[in-house]
Amino acid sequence: MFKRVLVANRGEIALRVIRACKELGVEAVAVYSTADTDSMHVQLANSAICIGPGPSSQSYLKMEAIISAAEIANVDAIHPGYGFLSENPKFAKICESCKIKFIGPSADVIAMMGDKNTAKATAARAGVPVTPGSKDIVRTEKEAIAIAEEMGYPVMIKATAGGGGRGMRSALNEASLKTGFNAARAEAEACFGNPDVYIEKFIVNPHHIEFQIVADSLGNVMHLGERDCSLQRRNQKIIEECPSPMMTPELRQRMGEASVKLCKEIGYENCGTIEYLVDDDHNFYFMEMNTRIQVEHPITEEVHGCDLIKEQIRIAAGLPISEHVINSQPRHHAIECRINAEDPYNNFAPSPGRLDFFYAPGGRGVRVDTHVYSGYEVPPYYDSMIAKLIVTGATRDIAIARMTRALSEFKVEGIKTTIPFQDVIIKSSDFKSGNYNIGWVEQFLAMQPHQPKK
Amino acid sequence: MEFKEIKQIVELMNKNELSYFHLERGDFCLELKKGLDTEAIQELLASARAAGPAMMPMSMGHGGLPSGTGGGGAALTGAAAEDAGTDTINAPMVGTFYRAASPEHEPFAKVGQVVDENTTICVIEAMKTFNEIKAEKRGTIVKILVENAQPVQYDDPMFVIKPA
Repeated sequence: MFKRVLVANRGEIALRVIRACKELGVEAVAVYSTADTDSMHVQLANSAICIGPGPSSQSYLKMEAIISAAEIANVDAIHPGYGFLSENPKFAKICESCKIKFIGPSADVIAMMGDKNTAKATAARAGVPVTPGSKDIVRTEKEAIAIAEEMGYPVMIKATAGGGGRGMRSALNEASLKTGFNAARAEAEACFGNPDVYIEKFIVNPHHIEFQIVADSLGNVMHLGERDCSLQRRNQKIIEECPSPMMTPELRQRMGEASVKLCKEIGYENCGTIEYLVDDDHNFYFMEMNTRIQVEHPITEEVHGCDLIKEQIRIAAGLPISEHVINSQPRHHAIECRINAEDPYNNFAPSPGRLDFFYAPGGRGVRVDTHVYSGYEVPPYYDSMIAKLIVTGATRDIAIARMTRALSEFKVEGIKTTIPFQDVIIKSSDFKSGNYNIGWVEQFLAMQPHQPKK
Repeated sequence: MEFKEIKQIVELMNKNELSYFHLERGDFCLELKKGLDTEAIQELLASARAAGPAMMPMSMGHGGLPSGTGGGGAALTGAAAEDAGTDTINAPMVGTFYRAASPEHEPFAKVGQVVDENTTICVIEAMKTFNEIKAEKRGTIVKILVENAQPVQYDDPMFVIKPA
């Protein structure tokens, strides 16, 4: 086991990693910017090194500063958390050459899955379904029709040189495909000087379902089921749950097998997540792979009875996946709300500043992962998440009732938070029935009467 | 006067059971009183605050005469006048501090040396790269706070200078 690990991150995930280190008997070294001097992760680490000023580019994203701190502190390994340098193959490579163990997969695997096109091709080669599409440019109407028929409608016609939603047309049938094909080409020519288009299957209001993967250096590769992360606003997840209300044992088995197969093909090691789009007919399509721990990992931990961060550290130290993880039987239901310092009544404008009062909920089945406390000053430089509220219940209904109760107890004064917004969603009938998809939050917001500013 | 000299005086006071010591030397004044005299302590604190950030309070409140631990129950006034009106040059990056380009070279900066914005004052090594650090301030080096080959964090004070 490592003697000392540097935590190359901040906020709640840095504290999360520090806690896992302590439980493993590993010394945790925190790094921090001057803006994070009072952060809880700095206070609870065994030691802490200031590496730069507030802006991330000069601190948490500055590789030389992180490595320099790692050398001074004489650490054996670096845990990159999520975001920042966690999926930066160059950083992983530098760690390798400095003989500091990067807690995650190898730099080569990170590079391979980090490029979205390469990742999709890699997944396809491993037999994982990817969003079907024409292999090449579609030049004639006849070709377009043939491809669409083979794929099945609806389809999306996309300009190859396109962007910003321009040069795109969806087609529900052959008639709209004919008009759409020509219109897309014309628009592409006008906007980008290149009329070439290709065709992709249009997945209508899909569900975002991701699978947790754990793989050690001794050849054990397993999945720990799925998380449903369809509730997103502008591609940012706000509520996640495990298991997914739309999952069936049959679909879980198919998706789980595909996920494990892909990981074995690429020689994946440590924890990772494969994200899929799933339509209402239970067709699933590979979207991307995140070669790091995810923000929403706690809901998998609660349902599977494991500590994924400890597994990450153990695996990086050469140990096998823990017995209790290999033998885990999922039970109960977990929901997570990401509490952000944003004003939901003012278009989610960021709300940094001093937390005059902060009281997190507690009681049976309530877990709060946070680095903040009463009197803490939320800095303006970083993402707005201040806490993760995770509840677990014996059934999904119990979990929903528990989340409603916990949200009502959560008191934050001095800044605005997304708590009232998440409260409304959790209480909605669509959430109760599990009847939601990626488009749900935006549709819900569009239906709201204009809220008065508070 | 160095702190360790003051400590020696306190130890002598304890050893010889003296309860009051007063020394004046030019601008420097040192007054040591043993025992818990709260009114006097408050007065000293007030005058020290007025004088500037010069006070070094020793552990107070143990009551009565201090036993063998030495140094308890005394208060200092009017310590080093050089603390007022100085500035520091802080580390602009995290790494290992070196006073010279190599063990064979002379240190870049010495006490008493006049520096300006472009004077190289030290080297900070990070990831096998030696970065020459400029003073970025004008003044005279009064004190060097970091020893050679010691680690520095971002913003750690390295040099005390008297601004020009």
